[in-house]
Amino acid sequence: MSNRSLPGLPARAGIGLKARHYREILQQTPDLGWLEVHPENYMGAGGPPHHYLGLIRRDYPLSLHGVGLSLGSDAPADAGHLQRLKALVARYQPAQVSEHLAWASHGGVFLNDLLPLPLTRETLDIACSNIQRVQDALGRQILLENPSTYLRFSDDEYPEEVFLVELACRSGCGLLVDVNNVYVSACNHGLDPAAYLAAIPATLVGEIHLAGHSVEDIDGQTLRIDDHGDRVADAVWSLYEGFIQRVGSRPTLIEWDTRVPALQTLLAEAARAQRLLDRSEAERHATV
Amino acid sequence: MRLSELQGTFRDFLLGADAPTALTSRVVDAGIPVANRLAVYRNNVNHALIEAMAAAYPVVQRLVGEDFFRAVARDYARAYPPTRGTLIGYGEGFPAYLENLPAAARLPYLADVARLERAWLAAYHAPDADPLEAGELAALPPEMLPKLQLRLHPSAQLLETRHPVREIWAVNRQPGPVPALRLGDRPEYHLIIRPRLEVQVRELPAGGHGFLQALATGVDLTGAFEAALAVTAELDLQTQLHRHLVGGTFAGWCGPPQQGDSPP
Repeated sequence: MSNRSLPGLPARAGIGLKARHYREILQQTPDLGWLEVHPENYMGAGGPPHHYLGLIRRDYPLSLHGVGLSLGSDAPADAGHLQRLKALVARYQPAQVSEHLAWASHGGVFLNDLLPLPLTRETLDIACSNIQRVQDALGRQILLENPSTYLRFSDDEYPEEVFLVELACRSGCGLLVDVNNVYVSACNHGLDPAAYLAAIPATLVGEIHLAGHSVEDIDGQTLRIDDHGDRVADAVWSLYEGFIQRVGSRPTLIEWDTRVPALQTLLAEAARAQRLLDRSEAERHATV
Repeated sequence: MRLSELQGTFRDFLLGADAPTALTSRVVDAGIPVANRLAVYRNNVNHALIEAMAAAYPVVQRLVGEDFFRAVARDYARAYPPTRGTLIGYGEGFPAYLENLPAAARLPYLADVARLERAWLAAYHAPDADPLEAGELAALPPEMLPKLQLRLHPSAQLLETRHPVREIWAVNRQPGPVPALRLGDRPEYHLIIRPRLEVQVRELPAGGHGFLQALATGVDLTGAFEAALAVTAELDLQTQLHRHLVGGTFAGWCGPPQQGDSPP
């Protein structure tokens, strides 16, 4: 079965759309499979963000990748936030909607970060009902992304990859596999990123993310920080290559959110991902 | 500790509280001290909220310098963290916060500059609407005009500042050296508006501000003219109205019910 028949985004490389690239993308319409934005940046009523996104949306399929729903909070998603997301889905008809396995809000305070969850049965139940509520409200499946983490809880009952697969099977969501996050978290916890990726069933994978990270020395110890501020690391590229050889071509995003470079740099990273997708597709067909 | 309790403790830590044992004892060390692992999250939250404030208040940051701004923005974010899942509109209370900040007292106009930046952002993200064409009013029967209600463009922000800050704001928005400014000590009236894509900051005479304020509350043209003249007698209302029509200040009008009109 060709993966191109899966609903959603084309199984090609895309980039995160940044405001500073609006005009260039409109003028040059670079050869990209799709574009992704954070819906939170388009939750104003009007103005230039909507103007440009509306124009660009005519040329490219769109993915809405949320950071504000806080699916891991022990409370239902904020009704106002969900309503704003729903309005964006209706307005821009995205090919894909995704969020994170994380929490960001508690007690009416939004912390604007993807915060770590204890991977317990309690969390599984909570996240599952939150995801189902969102999917019901939007009337569509969403994808859930593995976050970068800098700590783990001692009462974890599941490895993260097992937790995610279980959550996807129970809630009906798909998975967005961020290979950079897998690598960053594995390094920070002394785990094996390849083993993590091997545990993800191909059928659940709807999208892949690639990004750069930074390596910080903290009191003589190395921590990798997912800052989306650099080129994709070589180790992440090779994990990605192995992953798509197994699961097949998937829509693949180059994310770059801090120290955003010139559009050409983003396009070059996307072209590299596209070459790997093309090669993997050719090899898979050759071996069938 | 249940999930909600853990998240409450974690949130308080991110906003500046010490990490209690109930939190630290639950985190795996695995070669890197727990305190350092937790600190990554606190730094990330601090950084993101400070960056959001810096993006919303670039001129305030330039006036006070980056170090001072980041310290004040961090304190503000800890005291008034975001309450919505988007940072659009975050930092609304910052002008009032600056007003009452002893460390900023040497810059008495700072809170006014912040108000102007806040109004600029509000206009930027406001609902879109086509401005009313001047020709549309010209085509109306003249006898309708006195009772006409002009609707302000949805992006229009009316602002009165105690200090003259428009020029301070304008020269500090551009990179490069800032010329010496001669500023009096007088209030200033502003219309911040985005008729189409570009936000504009226009100075208004005091009466012109009163005129638009009256229109914004749904008063008709006659009433708005009266309100303006109550503020100042030295106002050329014809010129004011003409400028606003050409400048896209209005988004529509409704007239008095016409004789013989049937109710909708």
